[in-house]
Amino acid sequence: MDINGRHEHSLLATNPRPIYHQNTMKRLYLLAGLCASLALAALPTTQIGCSSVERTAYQAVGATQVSVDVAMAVWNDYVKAGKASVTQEMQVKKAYEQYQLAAFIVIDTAKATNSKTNSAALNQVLASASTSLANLVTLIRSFGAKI
Amino acid sequence: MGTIISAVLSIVQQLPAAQAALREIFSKPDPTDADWDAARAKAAKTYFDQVPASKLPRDT
Repeated sequence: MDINGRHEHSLLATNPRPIYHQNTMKRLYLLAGLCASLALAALPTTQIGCSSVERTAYQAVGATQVSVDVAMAVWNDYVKAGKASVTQEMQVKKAYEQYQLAAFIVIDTAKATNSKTNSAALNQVLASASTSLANLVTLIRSFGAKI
Repeated sequence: MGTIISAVLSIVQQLPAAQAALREIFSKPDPTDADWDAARAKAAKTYFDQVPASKLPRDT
């Protein structure tokens, strides 16, 4: 029962999307994007029969970006709540910028890739971007943000 | 690898918005230069674009 004498179930009835629902959705988005990007990055492009090297790289970059956007939205909520220290913010900013650099290298490498001869190089930079994403998420989680 | 992909698919199938976002990415044919430029623009968002609540000075 709340302070107005209403039962909890009546609150749910008037607010069908409680706050916890938003956080759960963010986590699920992140998990989906993270799994997709890690799965793609871990899959050597030479083993993909029907997709081009460029297309696989594009999918990996896109799924990774979705994951990063969700992770940073969770981090923004954490910062907004006043739970993050300046030092923690600086660490996350650095990790985010490392991810950005890795993403730029993937994009530039993929744009320049026009044959299978470069697929090994592309696999390497994709793995690097995936690692940067994992580092960013691990760092944010280590500070207590609920991802 | 198959287990990971199955897990991803099962999660995405329960999330219409995520499904739509990822479907757009995964349904594209070979990306064009314009697609790569768009991807680069998305990746170019600064820390402060992503974290508007940041308490760090904007010149850091």
